[in-house]
Amino acid sequence: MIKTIRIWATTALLVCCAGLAVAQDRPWEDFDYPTLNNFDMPSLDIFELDNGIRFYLVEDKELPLIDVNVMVRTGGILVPDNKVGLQALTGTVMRSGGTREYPGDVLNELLEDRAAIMETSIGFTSGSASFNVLSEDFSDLLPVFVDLLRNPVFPEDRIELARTQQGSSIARRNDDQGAVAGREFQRMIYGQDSPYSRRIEYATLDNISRDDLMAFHQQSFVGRNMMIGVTGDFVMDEMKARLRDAFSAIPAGDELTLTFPEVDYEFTPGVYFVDKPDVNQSYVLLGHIGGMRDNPDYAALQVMNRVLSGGFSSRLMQVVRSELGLAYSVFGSFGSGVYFPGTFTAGVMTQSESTAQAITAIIGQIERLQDDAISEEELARTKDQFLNTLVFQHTSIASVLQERMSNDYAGLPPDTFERLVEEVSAVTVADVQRVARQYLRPDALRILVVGNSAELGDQLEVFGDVVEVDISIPGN
Amino acid sequence: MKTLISRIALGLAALAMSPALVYAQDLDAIAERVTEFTLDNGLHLIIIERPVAPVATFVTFVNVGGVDEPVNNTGVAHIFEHMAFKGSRNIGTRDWEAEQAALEKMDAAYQAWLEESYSSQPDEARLDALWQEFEQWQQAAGEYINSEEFSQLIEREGGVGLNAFTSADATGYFYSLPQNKAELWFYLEAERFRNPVFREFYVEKDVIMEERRMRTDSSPQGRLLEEFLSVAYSAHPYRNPVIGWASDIAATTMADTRKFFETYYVPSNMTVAIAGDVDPQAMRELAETYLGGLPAAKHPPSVKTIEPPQRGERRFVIEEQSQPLFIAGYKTVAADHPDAAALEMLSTILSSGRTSRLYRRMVQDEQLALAVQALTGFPGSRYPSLFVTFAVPNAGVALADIERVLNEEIDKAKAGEIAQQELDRAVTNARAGAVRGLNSNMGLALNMAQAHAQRGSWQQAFTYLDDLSAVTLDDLQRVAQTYLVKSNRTVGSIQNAAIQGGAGQ
Repeated sequence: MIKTIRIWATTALLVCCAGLAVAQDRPWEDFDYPTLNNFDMPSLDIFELDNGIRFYLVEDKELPLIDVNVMVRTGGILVPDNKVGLQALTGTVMRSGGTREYPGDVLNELLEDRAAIMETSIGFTSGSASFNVLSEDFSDLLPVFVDLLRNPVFPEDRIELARTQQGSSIARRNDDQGAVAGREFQRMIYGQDSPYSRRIEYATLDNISRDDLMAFHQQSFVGRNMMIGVTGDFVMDEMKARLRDAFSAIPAGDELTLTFPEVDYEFTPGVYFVDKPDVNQSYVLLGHIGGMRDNPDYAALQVMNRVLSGGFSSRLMQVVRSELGLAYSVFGSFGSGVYFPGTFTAGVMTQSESTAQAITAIIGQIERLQDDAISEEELARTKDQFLNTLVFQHTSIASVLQERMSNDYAGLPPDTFERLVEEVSAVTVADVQRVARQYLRPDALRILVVGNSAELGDQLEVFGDVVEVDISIPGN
Repeated sequence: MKTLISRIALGLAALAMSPALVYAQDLDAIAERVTEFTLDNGLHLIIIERPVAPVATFVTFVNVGGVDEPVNNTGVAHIFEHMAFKGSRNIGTRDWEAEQAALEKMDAAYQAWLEESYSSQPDEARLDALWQEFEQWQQAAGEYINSEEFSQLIEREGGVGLNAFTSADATGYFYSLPQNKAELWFYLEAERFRNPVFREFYVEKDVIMEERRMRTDSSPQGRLLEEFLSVAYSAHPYRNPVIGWASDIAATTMADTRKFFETYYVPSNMTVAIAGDVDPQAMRELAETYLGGLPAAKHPPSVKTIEPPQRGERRFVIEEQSQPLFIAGYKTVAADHPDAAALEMLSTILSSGRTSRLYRRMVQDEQLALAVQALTGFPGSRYPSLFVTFAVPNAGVALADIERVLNEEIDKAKAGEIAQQELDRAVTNARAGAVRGLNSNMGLALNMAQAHAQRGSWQQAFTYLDDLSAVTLDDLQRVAQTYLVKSNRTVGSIQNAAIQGGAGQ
């Protein structure tokens, strides 16, 4: 939370989101590109300690730094409904409170005097701890990092601080139009009581005690739940010995099982509206439930996503932005989750007056994917786009290690990416149309608009009965 | 990406190949991987060899921003930036000559329509007729367009991160390619900066109006910042929003944009930096082949307006439905002023990291704020700008308490209460931040191009750290006393209408 709010947001603008000529020069067709240089794929050293910690190591001498990244099998999915936010508080106070030997303020000075970084956080499907340090300081600070992982004290004053901060975030959660839209859309798709859409409330914060934080840490940060990646400027054998020495004391504990309940989804359309009188633009999200990563159609769906919304030359950008001028920001993608179903979400930010027109334009592009097969030319271009960017999958030694760890954490095979490349290469025009027909349901879209009702008028009624969504904050 | 370009200078820094922190003597090691040259037309190129992976990032940094815009055309720097993605005479069109004829008639019709609409008694019938004529030519021009061909060429060849930014001070264009496709970048960059065609111009202005609605009109923070700059500055163009005032975006024509482009997009005002797995000699040959053709031209004018001394504190309040925000700014100096380094260190000591003074007191100990930040060089650093403090109050905390504590902390700096350890820590973190920034092709290219463009040499990206190291406690006290004074200050806030109403009545 230290530097998350920047005030210069509006001072620099991006083009964020910034054919076939007759008798024109097309010299690019004759460019004779040299052969691409090789990327020497580094091999990873992987080993496990008796306590279950699995290490992934690779040397990278480019800079005099060492980076340690711990992935922890835990997450908000383990938290009961009446304590939503427990995992976030645990992750925050673990670091801010420090340990008995290195209390928060002492730890802060110790680290910042050496420009070292240690952070901990726990998300919905995983936890993490990171340690980035000049290599000359590594030996001195490694024991401090292990102490932080093992012995955080969760002092009451820092718990109170974290609670106050979360409370302030709740109070501010309706100020940002996009945040409102994102949050309410999740609730529309997964349901109000789903673990995939629930929110931190004042009431759930009040239910969280220091004992809860201690217990959550205790069950999570044990050897059997930890994977640790180490990259940087070190000598392999020395590093292995040092890690063994430092991490052996961490108890093995029990492996946590993260259980993700099924989503019971019925394809029904709906139109939902949140009134926000202080905006002159509508934030629109529309869609329905998405799918899972292990779907055999995953590759075809990725091609479809790119045709619809991958880059400036995608259909939504070309039509809704460049040709119609209805939006700066427009997007759409069928999401595939590793742990639970993603969402199919398309969206646009457009002036109040053109809200219905923009929604219609987006739906038109969704239907077009179903009605007309994409051309062979568009398929080739889209595949080229994907295949030519493969070289960016690994732009550093560390990226190889990160990819392997995240595949292992998610239970995906190490060659997941290589398989995807093969599958994408095999996708046909017919595949793209088939998956568009099978997985997209333009007849059953749930449409959410966060906008200014006085400017909007009755535009949304053409899409169905409009349900007004109450976003008032419980307990305010 | 929302980045104030001058902040990149802070994380700015170095190719520290062996030493732990970046020091001036290491410049030699860095220089071994840097090749620079200037073409006959005045265009300067910096090549940074970083053969870590077979990719490269290409940046064109133009020393023109919102600050350079003429009256009636605020936002034109950004409008041109958008037009630089629309192609050229060869890219994005089926028939450039026919298209060009239609585009000229389209713009003439728009200009006539504008003129009529600004007249004291606009003739409605004439307005309608002109608008119809405009739309007819717009449609005619549209017949020739190959939509998004420029982007397609890049994306198809594996280009990633295709984008650009416009700030108060500068405009930058960038993307990355597989390292063997540098020729495509040289060709396309020469096309867009030699013969840009402003196709889809008026539709793109609608896109930009949506961008304005998104960033400013519909965002509490956006509204606060726009109001803040317009109150803080009387005369200097830093008072204008980079996106432009809505009426100016509407009033800007293709002809206005072309004039701006021709004045400022001259080779001597542009710097190219390329970082990645590239061969400098090959880059030089490609540069001469493609970019050597950009015509040399007169170096553009600088801003002549000097902000007059402020005659007293300025304050404003915006009443809103959203939660309160606080901002205060003090007039200071440009980046090339000797006091800039001390102001930079002062802002770091005040708000960077968990040990900083404002974080520790306001966020952690007294829990007044969800977040607090001090920074220099806002909204730019080519000309004298502002030292800003910004706070997001916790629920229930009065803005008066936020302001009081910020003033107390500034008074401590004026009283010389900052300790040497705090200053040392700030310098150490600046140097380490520099090292951490070295593993990014994008960061290297952008920082070194900016250092050359704004401070005369890429080495400034590193030697700047020595200026920070030279700052003393006396300097910190002196700059606080000199600049952070009430009569030099602008204070603004968003107050919640309901809270204020409830409390006041």
